[in-house]
Amino acid sequence: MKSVKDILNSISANNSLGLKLLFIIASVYCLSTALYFSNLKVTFIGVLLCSIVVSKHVIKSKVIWALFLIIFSIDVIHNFYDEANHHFLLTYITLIVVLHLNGVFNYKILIKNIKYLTVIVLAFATLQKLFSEQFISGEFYYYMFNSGRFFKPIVTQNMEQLALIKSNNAAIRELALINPNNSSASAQFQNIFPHLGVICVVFAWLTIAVECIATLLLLLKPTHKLTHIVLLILILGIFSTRLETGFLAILCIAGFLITTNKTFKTIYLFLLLLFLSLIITKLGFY
Amino acid sequence: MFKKYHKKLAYCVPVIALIVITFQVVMVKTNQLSRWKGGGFGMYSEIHHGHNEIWLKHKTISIDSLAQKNKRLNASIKRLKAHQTKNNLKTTAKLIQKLTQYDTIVLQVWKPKIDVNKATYYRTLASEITYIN
Repeated sequence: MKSVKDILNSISANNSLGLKLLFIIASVYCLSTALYFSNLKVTFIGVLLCSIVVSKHVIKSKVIWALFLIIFSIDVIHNFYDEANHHFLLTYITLIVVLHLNGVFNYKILIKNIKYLTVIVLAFATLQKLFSEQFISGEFYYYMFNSGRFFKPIVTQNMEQLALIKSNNAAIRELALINPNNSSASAQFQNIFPHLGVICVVFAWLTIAVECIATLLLLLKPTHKLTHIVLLILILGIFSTRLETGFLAILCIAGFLITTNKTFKTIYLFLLLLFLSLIITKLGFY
Repeated sequence: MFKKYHKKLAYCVPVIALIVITFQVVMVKTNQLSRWKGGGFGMYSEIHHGHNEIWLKHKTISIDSLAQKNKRLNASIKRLKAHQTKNNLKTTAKLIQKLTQYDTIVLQVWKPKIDVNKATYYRTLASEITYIN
């Protein structure tokens, strides 16, 4: 049996592990979204399972990756204004893998592509927040906290906070029954924490700062330890706020591929497996 | 397969991503597209468009209950809440007019707003269209 040290060495030495993980993510995502274009996806999953039984080289199969790309692209084109952002991201990553397997670029350029893509995603996630008045004023976080959409497992443990969240949501539901043309009524919130207004503004700017630092570090020092400490803080920060496990799994694979450090690779790997488990068990979002 | 274009294709994916994001940003600015949608990575930067409300001016009818009985209207409303183009407004208004038989309707989309100082949640008019049969 392999020792832990051997396993850790193989994690950092093995290039094909990255591709294997991408393959698992794409398969899990395909299964999770099988409700849309179900006939096509069920057929594809059947082909995928047959290929796994018959062939040893499914993970590097050009045909299978091309089929992944076709399926994800159909979703994007058909539901362009409705697809989640990480669906777009996964489609781009699938295209990168397809180009790599077809000999357009080598593994080194594949990693660079993943790096630039992650930088673009983080940069625009930051910019969109920066240019959203509702975000920088703290209004968005204020709403998310008071309606119990953030830190759900923690805030719902406290009976007093749970009662306030229920009362706030009831006020919103009641207001939604009134035609706003006939009344300028509003729903009165009861803050679940004291000084929530100030906390939300600080939290909003903190989010922008962490995302901005992660973007710059990833662009300028992609393999530096500090870069991956910040990226892991961002991943764990998002995870503790909301179970956006689909997006987080893709951030983890990006971190895993970009870093050259054995310890960070191992951390990303275990986080990725945790997020995938949460997606499969439907405890997290896909 | 793409040998002739290998060098040119090396970073084509990040470029495609940038083109899609640019298009999304333009749509957000010009066509009231929700920042959450369109592949621009603006998730969690504003209240989700699912909280937008659809109302008719001068009418008491609830569009939500009307949509529960009609799949096409439901899908149309979902689209309209995320993206208030003239076309989406017109399509939804047409469907509502057909179902309600009103001669003229003024279809409106209201967005939630928060007043942190007063701790209130209220709604503001985002867009409207007058549809005459």
